[in-house]
Amino acid sequence: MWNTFLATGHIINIGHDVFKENRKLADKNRETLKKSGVFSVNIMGAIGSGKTTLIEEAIKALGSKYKVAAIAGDVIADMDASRFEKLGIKTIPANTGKECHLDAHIVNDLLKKNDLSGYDILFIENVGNLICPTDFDLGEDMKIVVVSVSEGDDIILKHPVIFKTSDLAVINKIDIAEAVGVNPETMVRDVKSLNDKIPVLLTSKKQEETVAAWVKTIEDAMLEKKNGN
Amino acid sequence: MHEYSLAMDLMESVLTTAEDNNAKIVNRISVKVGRIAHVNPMQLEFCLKSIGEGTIAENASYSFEYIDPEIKCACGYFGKPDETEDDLDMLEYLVSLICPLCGKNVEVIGGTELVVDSIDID
Repeated sequence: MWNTFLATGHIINIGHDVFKENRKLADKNRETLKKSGVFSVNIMGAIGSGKTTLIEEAIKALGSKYKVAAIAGDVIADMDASRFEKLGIKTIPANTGKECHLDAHIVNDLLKKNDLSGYDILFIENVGNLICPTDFDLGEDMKIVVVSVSEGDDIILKHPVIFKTSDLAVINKIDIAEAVGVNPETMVRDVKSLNDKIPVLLTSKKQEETVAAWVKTIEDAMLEKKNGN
Repeated sequence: MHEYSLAMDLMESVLTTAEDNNAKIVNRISVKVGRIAHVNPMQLEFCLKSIGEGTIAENASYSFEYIDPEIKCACGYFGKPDETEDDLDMLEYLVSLICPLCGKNVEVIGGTELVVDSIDID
């Protein structure tokens, strides 16, 4: 490839895969979450895409029917965590420090300190970023990617891997699509061109029926998992 | 974007192995990077060199090699990506790849690794 050298000493094979270590820990998390009986959702998306708001709406709708918990990943502040806490659910802040993503190690640590037995749903809000979280499995049941129309209608093709590897794509803030000169249908088409199996939701906090569809998608996925399908 | 923390893990693995083998110096570090992983080898090398300062790997040279994923389709197609694609365009090429037999989206398997493959020591 590039940089070729002559061997001068003796060669020791290592074969240590950094990402494999993360995947092993993610498998442990998956096992822990399964034992607790909690359905876990990893919500990824850029800063300002509306991840926190969508989670808040889901908590408001599902919080009275089910036991809900949330992990809020922020680089330093605990603002998102306090927004969830206000809604009366168990909230676990995860300050990621310099990291641009949550990883299985951080989640593993939080699961050791917080027993989620008896909980129905765990929302994991990832750090605002469309790139880095893609490389780090957390052990979650469902990966959701959120983009807002204000990010521009080329945002999807610029970040293909996250759409290829997620279980649900949400195109948010559709109420301002016209103002920002974006056609949400173009964004749907782009998602489908990368991943023809992924369901796509169009949402806006200001359009109740879209929020209801978002909540129903989460609830249905949880019930499907609980019923062992 | 997270090359520094990945480089920390890689360098720890390098130095532990070097010490276990009573190395006085690490001459070369060979790294393999999956094509789908969001890792830039040039940034990674910069971070590794920075972290390696003051250690027996301080003057090590680096070699990087990509790991290709495999391509699978529901129709039964199984293959490797076209290696004539330019390295930098490879990620885009892979994720938008459609099956040459049936024209549907393919499943891309593997290519997500970041491996410190071997070290050359004295």
